[in-house]
Amino acid sequence: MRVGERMRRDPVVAGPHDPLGRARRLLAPHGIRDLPIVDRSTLVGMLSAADVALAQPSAATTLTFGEIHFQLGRVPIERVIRSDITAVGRRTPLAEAIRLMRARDVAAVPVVSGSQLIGVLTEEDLLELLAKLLTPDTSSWTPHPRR
Amino acid sequence: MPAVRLEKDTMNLKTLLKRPAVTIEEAAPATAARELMRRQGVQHLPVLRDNELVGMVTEHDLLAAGPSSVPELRAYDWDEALAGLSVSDVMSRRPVALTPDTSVADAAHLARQHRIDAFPVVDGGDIVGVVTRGDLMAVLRGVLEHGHPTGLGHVLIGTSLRAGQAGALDAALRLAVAAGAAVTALHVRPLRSWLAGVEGATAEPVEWVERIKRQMADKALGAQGREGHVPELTLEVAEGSIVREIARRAMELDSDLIVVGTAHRRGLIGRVGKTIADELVQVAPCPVLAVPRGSEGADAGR
Repeated sequence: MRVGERMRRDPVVAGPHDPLGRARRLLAPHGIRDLPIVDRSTLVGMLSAADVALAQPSAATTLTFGEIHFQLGRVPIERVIRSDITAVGRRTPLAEAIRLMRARDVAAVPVVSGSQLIGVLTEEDLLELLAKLLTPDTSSWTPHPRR
Repeated sequence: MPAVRLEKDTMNLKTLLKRPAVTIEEAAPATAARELMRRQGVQHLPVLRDNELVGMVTEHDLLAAGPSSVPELRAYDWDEALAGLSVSDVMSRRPVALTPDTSVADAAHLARQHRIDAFPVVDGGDIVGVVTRGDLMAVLRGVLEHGHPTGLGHVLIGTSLRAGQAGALDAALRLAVAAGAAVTALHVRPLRSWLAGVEGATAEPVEWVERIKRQMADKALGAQGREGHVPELTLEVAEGSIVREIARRAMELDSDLIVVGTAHRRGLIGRVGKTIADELVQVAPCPVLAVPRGSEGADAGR
C-alpha cells in the first residue's frame, strides 16, 4: 500500500506570513494537528500543534486573554516552524512513511511532487486504516506468509 | 481477517504492554513529570491520587503549559508561578482507560474518534501499562510490512519441563504457526544445580543436555501435532540465571516476542511475589507474553 492511496488530497494550509493566531483558529476546531505551510503552492514547512503549544504563553503568563490574542496576532507562522521539512511522495510505501513519522516524532507528513504540496498523510487516517485491517468482518486484507 | 489469533478473535492490547507503566502523583511538580519522562523515555504518564487513576499528563501538556518559544511572549511568563505548577494543573482529567483485553482495532478507533494520544491500560484496579499512538502505528507497520500485526519474525519460548507447563509451549507455537514465525525453545537450567555437578563429573552436563533436549523434542512434537507445523523450530539448553539467560538469548536472536509460563502465581503484574515473567519484562528487549497455568486446554483431553 502506498501513500497516495491514503493521503488527504485537499488539506487545510496556511501561509508563512500568516499570524500564529490564524493557525490556532485553523488547528483546534477542525481537529487538525498539523498544518502545511505553503508559499505560492510551494511547501515551506509544517506547523504542528506542538509548535503552537510551545509558542503560546505559559500557564503562568501575566498577559490577559485579550493581550495573548493580540500578541499571537503579531507573530508570523514562519518564526516558529521547523525549517527542515520531511516529506514523502505519492509512491512512497505506507510502512516507510510510518517509519519516518515515528523517527521524526510527527503526526503528519506532507506529500509532495517536486516542491508542490499534493496532500497530507496523517496519523488519524492511519489509525482508521489499522482499525479497518484488524476488524474481521470489514477487512479484505489477506496476510501473506513472511518467509 | 486478523493475521494473528490469540485467545479472542482479534489481537488485543495485552501483546503491546512492554513494561510496567511509569506513573506520577498529581501533587508532584510539573517539572518532575518532565524529568521523569526524559529519564524513562516516555511521553505520557498516568496520574495518580492515592493509587487511583485521575488523569494523564503528556509531553504536549507540559510544552503548552511551559514558557513560550517566542521571546516577546516569553517576557510575560511569570517564572515563580511556572515553577509552582503541579501535575494536576496541566494534566487532562478523566482519561479513557482500556483493559488488556481491549482489541487493538478498538483502541485505534477510540484514539481517532476522541483524538487521544495514549491510553492507560487498567486491569482490576492496577495500571498495567500505557498504549500510545506510536504503539498502534508500530502494529500497522507490522501488518503492512510482514502481513501480521506484531511483526513477529521470531518467538523465544522459555520452556519448563514441569508438568502442567505445556500451556506456554502451546500458546507460543500457536502464535508462531499463525504468524509464520521461527521458534526457539530455550530451557535454562539454574546455575546452582550446575555447580553441584562440577566436581569430577565432566560427562554429566552433556548427558543432561541430551536428555533435556529429548524431552523438549517430545513436548514440541506433541504441541506441533496440536497447533500445526512451525516453519523453523530450534531447541536450546542453557545454564545460569533463568531470567538473564532468556533475556540474553532474546537479544542475540533478535526475538520479537518471549513466551513463558507463569507457574502458580498471578499474571504479569501479580501482587503475590514476582514470577519469572515479572522479572523478564524489566530486562527483556521485546514484549513478554505470560501464559497462565491452566490455559493448556489441549492438554486436558490427552
